Amino acid sequence: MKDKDLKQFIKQSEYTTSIDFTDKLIEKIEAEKSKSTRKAYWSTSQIIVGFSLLAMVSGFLFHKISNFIESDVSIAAPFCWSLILLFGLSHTLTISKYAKMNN
Amino acid sequence: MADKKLDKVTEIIHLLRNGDLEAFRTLVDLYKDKSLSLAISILKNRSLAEDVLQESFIKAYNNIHQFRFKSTFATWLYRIIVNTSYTELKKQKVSLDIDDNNETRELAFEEKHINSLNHVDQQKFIQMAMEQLKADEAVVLRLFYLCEMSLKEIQSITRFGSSKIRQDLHRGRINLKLQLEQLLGEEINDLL
Repeated sequence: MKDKDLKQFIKQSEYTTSIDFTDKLIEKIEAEKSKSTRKAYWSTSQIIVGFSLLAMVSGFLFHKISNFIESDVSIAAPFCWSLILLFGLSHTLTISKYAKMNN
Repeated sequence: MADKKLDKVTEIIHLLRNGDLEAFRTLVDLYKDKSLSLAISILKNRSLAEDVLQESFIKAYNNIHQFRFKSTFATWLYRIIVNTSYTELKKQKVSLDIDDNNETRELAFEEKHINSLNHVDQQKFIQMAMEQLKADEAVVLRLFYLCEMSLKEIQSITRFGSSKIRQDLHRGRINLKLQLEQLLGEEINDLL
């Protein structure tokens, strides 16, 4: 069998997709796009950096305040407080962004 | 003609990177039929191939910023489709679509006179012959003859070695001819 004949056969073997193939595909992409905009506002690395900075500042402030009022403050307090504050901020920003999108 | 198409595709990709979903629709319509043929070459099942093709196009859309114009868009896209199809093939045992096969087998039994076959039936015979080939042979044949890729591009798409590609092309040609002769007998010459 000649090469050009073989080429002709194989070209004839081409399939065609179903009529609504492209429409379904575009719908899927649009659905995925609307899902992905609801994800958390900050990435993990941003949270870690933010937490570290906030923990340092909080630690310093707590140390100064505890020296001033002469009370025994747990060393973990500033770190816990920073973590809660950071996640709270992240959640607030996510809700705010989602609310803006829906308006 | 090929240059005009290339310019059009380049323009569409730039629009797509700016979030133009309608541009993506145009791109899909340009490549979907050949892409489906490649997926069926591997999966031997039309409905599964369409699902895998949808998944592949979504991957291409989500990763369009990673396309750096170092190869043609077709090469990049077909690589995604072939990889996704082979991954799916490994995940499950794929059986041939029984209904489709019964129909074409009946056709082969009753309608062996090629002159009485219309274009659609001829196409079915040829598709059936192609789908009897091994996945590697079928995909290499289609990349070479249908998608008109060079051996180097086929190597880039499939990650097969150059000797394997030559071997699959050679064996694929022989096996396709055997399959067509089995289905159509000497009347294969009437198709030419």
